[in-house]
Amino acid sequence: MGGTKKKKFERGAATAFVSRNKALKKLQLNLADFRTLCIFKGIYPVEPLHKKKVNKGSTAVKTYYNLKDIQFLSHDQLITKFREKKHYVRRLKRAVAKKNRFAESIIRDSKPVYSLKSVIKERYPTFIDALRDLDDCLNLCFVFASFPHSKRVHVEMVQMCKKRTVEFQHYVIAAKALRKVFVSIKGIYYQADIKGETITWIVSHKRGFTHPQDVDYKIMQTFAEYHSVLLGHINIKLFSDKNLVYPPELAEPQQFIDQDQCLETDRTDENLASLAPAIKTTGETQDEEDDDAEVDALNAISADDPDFIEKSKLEAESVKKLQNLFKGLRFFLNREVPREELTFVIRACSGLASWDYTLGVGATYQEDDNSITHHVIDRPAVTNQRLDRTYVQPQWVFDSINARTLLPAKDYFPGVPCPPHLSPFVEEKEGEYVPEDKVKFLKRIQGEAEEEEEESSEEDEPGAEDDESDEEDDDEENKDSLEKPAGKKRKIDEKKIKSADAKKAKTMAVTEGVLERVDKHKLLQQQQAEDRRLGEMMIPKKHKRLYNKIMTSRKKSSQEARKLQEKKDKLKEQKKKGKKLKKA
Amino acid sequence: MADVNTAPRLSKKRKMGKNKKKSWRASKVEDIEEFLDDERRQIRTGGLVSEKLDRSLFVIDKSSKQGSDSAEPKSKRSLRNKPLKCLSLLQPDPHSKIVRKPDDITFQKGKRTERIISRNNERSRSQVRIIAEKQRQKWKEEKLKEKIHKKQLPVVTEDLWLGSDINLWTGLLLFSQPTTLQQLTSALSATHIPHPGTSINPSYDDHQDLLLLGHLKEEQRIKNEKKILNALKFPSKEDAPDEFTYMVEMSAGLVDDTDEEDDLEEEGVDAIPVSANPPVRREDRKTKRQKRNEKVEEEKAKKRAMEEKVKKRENMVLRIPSLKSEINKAERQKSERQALKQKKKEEEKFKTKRLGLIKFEEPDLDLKLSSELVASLREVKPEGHPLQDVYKSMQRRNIIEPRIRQKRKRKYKLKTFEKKGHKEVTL
Repeated sequence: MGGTKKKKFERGAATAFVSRNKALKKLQLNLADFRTLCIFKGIYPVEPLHKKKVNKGSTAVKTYYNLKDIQFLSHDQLITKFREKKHYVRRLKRAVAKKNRFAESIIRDSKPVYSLKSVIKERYPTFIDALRDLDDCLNLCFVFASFPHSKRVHVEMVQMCKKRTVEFQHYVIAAKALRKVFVSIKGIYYQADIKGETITWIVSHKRGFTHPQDVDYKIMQTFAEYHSVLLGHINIKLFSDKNLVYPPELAEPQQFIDQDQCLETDRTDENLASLAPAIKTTGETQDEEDDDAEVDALNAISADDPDFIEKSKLEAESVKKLQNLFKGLRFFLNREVPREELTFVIRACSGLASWDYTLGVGATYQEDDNSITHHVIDRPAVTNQRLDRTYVQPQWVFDSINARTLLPAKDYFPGVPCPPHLSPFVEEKEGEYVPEDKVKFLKRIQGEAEEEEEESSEEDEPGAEDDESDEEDDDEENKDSLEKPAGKKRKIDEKKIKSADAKKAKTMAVTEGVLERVDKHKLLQQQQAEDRRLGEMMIPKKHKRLYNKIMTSRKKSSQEARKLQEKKDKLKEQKKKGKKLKKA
Repeated sequence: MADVNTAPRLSKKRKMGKNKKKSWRASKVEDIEEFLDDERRQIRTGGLVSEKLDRSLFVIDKSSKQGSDSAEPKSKRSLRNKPLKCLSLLQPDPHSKIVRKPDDITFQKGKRTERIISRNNERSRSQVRIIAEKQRQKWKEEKLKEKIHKKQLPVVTEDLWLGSDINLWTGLLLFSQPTTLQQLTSALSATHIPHPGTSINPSYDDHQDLLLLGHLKEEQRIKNEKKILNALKFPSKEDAPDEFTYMVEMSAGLVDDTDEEDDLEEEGVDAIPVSANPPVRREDRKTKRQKRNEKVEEEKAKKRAMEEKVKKRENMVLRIPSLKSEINKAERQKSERQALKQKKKEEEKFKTKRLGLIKFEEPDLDLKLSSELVASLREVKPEGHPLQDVYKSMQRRNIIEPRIRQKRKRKYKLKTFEKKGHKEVTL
């Protein structure tokens, strides 16, 4: 017994955290430098669980840091650099105030510089760690790259961010890593798959830029500095892994050289920034083998799970389809469509894109080129339409990528109101209600069989569209007859052949065998259902109740969904009837 | 000391008594002869000058009176116009060092050094100097390169993740880090996955869903605002302060009205006895018999209680099912509470923490009303600001604490006054 009396606030939470002011005093830095250091080193404020204990009985709100973090900071080399900078600023101020330009110039020469290399290496021991932070990195760099010249940010920073983002986009194009695109009112969301990591970022629409009021530019600039360096390191690694030359170089010399468009020195950079030309590789290409190796590795990991293998195979197939979605297609972008965004998206799916060479650097072919297959246009009327190419609205490109097939261009003709642009980030689970528009979208993806049904249904109710816009419909029909005469004929031919086959089957005859098509999806579903049933049998009594509960709730939700669907169908029928009556 | 013994050496200008032989011996004959010659000549030419009167020797100059009067004392007025003595301090000091003049605006770097170089070139150039010059030139170029390198933003040239930082044997990092560094500040993703209704061409359902969200948020905001307004509302007519309440309030503490209350309190204390055990009077004392009976009663009660206790314990066997259910219930409650706690903990990961004085506030929902939707991508007016989104996302994920921009405060008040000329102008 006995011993010294335990004093309050000498152990536990009270000593594990330090307030920001205390940390500043300990590190002998000013607030701005401390913030910068924390941002570079990835140290963030924390909220203690028991604030009263930490604050020695007081309940005043403060910003806290972990004591260990601050101790970690105190050993960093950057601190000495910050101190040097402080002295540098002091000397410089003095020289400037005395108007001693000579001394000023000498002091400016000895500006202390720091390197973030070791910091990055320390924060991300492996490359995958760095990729996990890429979202933030890309968002910020793309924002900074879009800044106009102003006194709020350094021009060099903007240029650096622009350069890095262009490099990254070139990598995505070369690796064909793009998976999803979503055009929202905020900007364009992209999702890419880089080395198994899903990376999502947003690029704002190219419009006039206004600086927001309530954003701390000093902090954002520090973040941008750090992230631009990080993005540079990541780019190098990605480029070298993909056998690309870093810094990127043009694979072929540009075709259209216009002296007025940019300076001689900027030409290569401008060309790269247009994203249209391909970049140089180091010569060793093992892309396809690589992919196969990946699939093999996946199989090896879970060889005992047949479902998983099948699923991953299907996924790999669809990804491959997406990667070569626009292969062999040549796009021409009209002047009113977002050029850079579309070029990026098209090139990432193996397509080619060009524009009028007066619009910007990087154009490879002109509007009168005969090899153009698609003309992306965003205005209601098109003059001088050519028959050898398809005119589509930009939404067609984005929707096709999300669907991973080339959607019928009919719905996206210029002037025609497009079907809704659905978010690819929403995925309905089994039994949940699937919205009507999504159902339509899925049907469109399924192919032409459903399309025919749709056509027949449209024929059933032509009045609906007639009432809305007679003129538009007429235009559409005209276009249809102009654009797809061959397609319709082919369908008719097919129908004729089918009917002929039916007639032949009635009479006894030996006919050529038809290859039985195995629907992999259906098989997979059947197998899954069987597995589930077997699994249900094996559930112990202990967990059966919980399982039943889950299943009933799921059933309920699916029932609700069905009810909604039924209601909708009923309404539709009523409408149809009403219209028919009207017509009659 | 040597001077004492030897004969005195007389200097030319040394004065001594003329009445002594010594001095006579020392004087030169030529001087005397010269003096006598001069005297004789004076006598010859008109008498000794030393014997003449001043008047015969000097003439008063009368001509200067009519000319300049500079010799006359200055008038008071002219003295007044003289520069003050203290102003002499402002005059340049001829003895002080020359202060370095600030460089003019057109100063160009290196100009001064150029001049020195040209002067050096003019001098005879030895081989050593030429070599030194070359070295200097080289150093200069290096310095220039270094300078240019320093001015550039950090340039990345090498693959950072080429070597491994992980010890092959232990599987640990080669450098030590606090464990908190690897923890994520929030489970939220960096890029907020957008609501499907924010599409440029949304489906009807999605858009309505988004509008509903926006509507609910706006309703909540209005409700909160109303709450504050209600608290600040003017009270009803009956409760409103009037002249009487004002008087009471203003005269609070002036009039001493505590006496009456104190008196009342004292009376109340007297009326009600406070003590638990009142004093026992002689007449009220218990008899021996009463006491005995009480004791017996007490013992009986004790016995009864004991019996009851035993009975209850024996009956516990019969209560087993209910006891079981009680235990089960407690356990169920415990597990439920644990699950709830766990759930809360999981949810906490997605929540924004309070990191500073200012609370984080979710920005407004970016949406387009049905009337604002446009047909084509070309006509879309973007909502929200990309930089603000990044900023808010970082705040939401506990990376930076929310801040409010501080207004610059002036230490002193600015004086304002009208100019004399403007004062007279009235419109």
